[in-house]
Amino acid sequence: MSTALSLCGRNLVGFLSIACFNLADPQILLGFLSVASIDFLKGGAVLLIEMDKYKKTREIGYGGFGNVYQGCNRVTNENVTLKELWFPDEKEGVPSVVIKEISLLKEMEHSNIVRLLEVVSAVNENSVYLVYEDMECDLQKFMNDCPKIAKDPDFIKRFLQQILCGLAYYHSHNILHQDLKPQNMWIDRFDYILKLADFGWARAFGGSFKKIGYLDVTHWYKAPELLRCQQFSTPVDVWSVGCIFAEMVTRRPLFAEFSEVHQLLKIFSILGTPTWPEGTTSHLFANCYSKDLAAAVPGLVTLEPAGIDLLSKMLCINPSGRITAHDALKHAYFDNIEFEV
Amino acid sequence: MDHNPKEIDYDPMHPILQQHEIQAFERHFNVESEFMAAEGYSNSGNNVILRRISVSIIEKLSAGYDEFDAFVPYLALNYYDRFLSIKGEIPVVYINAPNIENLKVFALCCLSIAGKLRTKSFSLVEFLKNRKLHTSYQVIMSTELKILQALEWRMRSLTAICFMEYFLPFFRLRDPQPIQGFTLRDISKIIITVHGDVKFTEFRPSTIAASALLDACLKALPEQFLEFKKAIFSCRYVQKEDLLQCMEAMGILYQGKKMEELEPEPEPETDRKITMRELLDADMFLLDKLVGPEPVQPQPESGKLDEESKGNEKVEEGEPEPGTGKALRLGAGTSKTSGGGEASSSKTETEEPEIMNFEVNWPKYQFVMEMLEDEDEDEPEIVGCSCSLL
Repeated sequence: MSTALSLCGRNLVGFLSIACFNLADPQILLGFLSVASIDFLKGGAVLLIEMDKYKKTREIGYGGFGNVYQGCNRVTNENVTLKELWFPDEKEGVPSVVIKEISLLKEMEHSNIVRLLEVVSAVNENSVYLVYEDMECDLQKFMNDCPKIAKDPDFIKRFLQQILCGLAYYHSHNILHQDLKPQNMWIDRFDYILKLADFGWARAFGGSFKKIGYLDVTHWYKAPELLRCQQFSTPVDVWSVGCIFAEMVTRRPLFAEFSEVHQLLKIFSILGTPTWPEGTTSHLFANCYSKDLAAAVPGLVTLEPAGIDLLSKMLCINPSGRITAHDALKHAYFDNIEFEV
Repeated sequence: MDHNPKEIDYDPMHPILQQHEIQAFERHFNVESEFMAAEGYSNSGNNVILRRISVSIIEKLSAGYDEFDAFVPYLALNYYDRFLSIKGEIPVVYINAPNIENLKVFALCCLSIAGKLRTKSFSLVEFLKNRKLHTSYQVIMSTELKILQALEWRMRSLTAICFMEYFLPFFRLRDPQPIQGFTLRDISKIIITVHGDVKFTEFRPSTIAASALLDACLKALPEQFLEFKKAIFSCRYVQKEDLLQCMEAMGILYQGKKMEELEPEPEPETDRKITMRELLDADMFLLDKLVGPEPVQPQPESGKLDEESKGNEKVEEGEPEPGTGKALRLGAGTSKTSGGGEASSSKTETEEPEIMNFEVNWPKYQFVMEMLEDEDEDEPEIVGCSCSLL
């Protein structure tokens, strides 16, 4: 007991100078201080939360928030994806947006959403790493590497259904993705489970994820209202899914232009240019007619009519007329597959 | 992305889910214990004393800060209890400083995290300036990270506040009369006030919510208390023993009697399970009734009822709170918006700041630790404790 007393002696004095104790019973006092004394014995070692547990193997991408690495768990040798998240203003402590987003991700659970394993802080405490399941094989890579499987209409249907399931789950909580693209969808090569990644990143941290070795294709999947910087909501994600759906069928991006302006023109050239009443700005896309998609995009001939119908509902230029993820799952296109989630 | 209006806010009434579905509540009952202090936490003398000091620090730090409602210190205390339950000791950042310095920083960081999660634009720098604190940012960053890590970033706590709505529908089922005399705000006030006492960390959030509702009901509508109590006790998720203990701890007495002393209720025939329909009805009901009479033009009928209920018993001032009414209306509105397109834009308005907009009133401890030596017991009971606050 005397050792413990001498060890925390300095603190004792300090504490006493502030709080004035009745020293009648030293046992009580000692009990009280032991709470802290354990920590004192450990010293600074408690401060470091091991990033040591993971090893960065290579950098695979970057975004407005930090870099993305492939890594592995040193103990289990399990592959993981590490996303670094910088804190822009260290005087504010851990940014509130980081607390809001991560605490939300922790409560979300769905088989078509990439799982956040844990959050570790960097040694210098100016950033945290989000540790996700390994996301090595994305949809883009899968389409390139396994064209035969990826082309199969049943696989396309199953993948689309899984994308929509994950999306509907998040939309039911009013969370937008805003950065859906084939690179952001991970596929497990063993059981062909598709998982969406990067929820909230584009929205919360203002930087979409760019994968090294890929073109920056973010705007290929942007909905017209996003390209026009209008008010937007959950329909923007459905638009992106529509683009990805068409890409899975035709094997090439539906709208792939080099700038956002050209992108918009391309969309209008395929789907028809909307007409809007003169002098109004709020209902830009209200009066648009749509062309026959199958005729406008030759690659879509292989798609069954129900698929064409669903696709054209997803690619409705007017966001309020666009089908929701939830309704899309009930579409006749999915009638002849088993619902497996 | 300045054109993006969405931000994911933490709504204590619906910590995880937007719509309240009955499944959501079932899930809440299953996971509520994950957001509680550990068993035995409130029995440790150390914890009791440290918590009393921390309660005083948190209250003092948050009092009078305009951006904080009463929920912020309440949430901070939830983090505090959970951290100590997990780690067993406060985080140490000042190695060679008095213990109280570490405790102060710990309490401050619990509060800052709660503030960041709860408020729209919390600035720590502003807050420190306002409170005239000179804590270095490295220390705060380090402590915040320790808290976040220890709680595994599960900061959207499921608290008793979220269960208020679950139990409210029981009113309607038993009693078609309009409810006067108390509001959600009264209930949340009871919940937050009792949380200052470490004893209430033992009870599940749902138990505290049920108990607080019964308390509010007893004060406002004593003649309907027994019926309401029966309805709540017949709910399948309520743990009856716990609820009795919690009510006793809150000092709820019906006509001077403790709950156990009342005549035993006959066992309900079936487990009462509230249906989705009833819950939706309850929304309409809340909208119509619980908001109370309009402050400007009280309807003659409701005014009459009000007087009647005030008749013999001392009724807590059923002051019509325009704010609460509005919040309830908005809250009820959300439940009918089904997660679709435009729902997210209305999200920001569905907050209910008014419900929790009051000063917390937790017991304050004096500056000297007092100990009562009880002859019967070996350990002296510590009744009060102190530190020189900030």
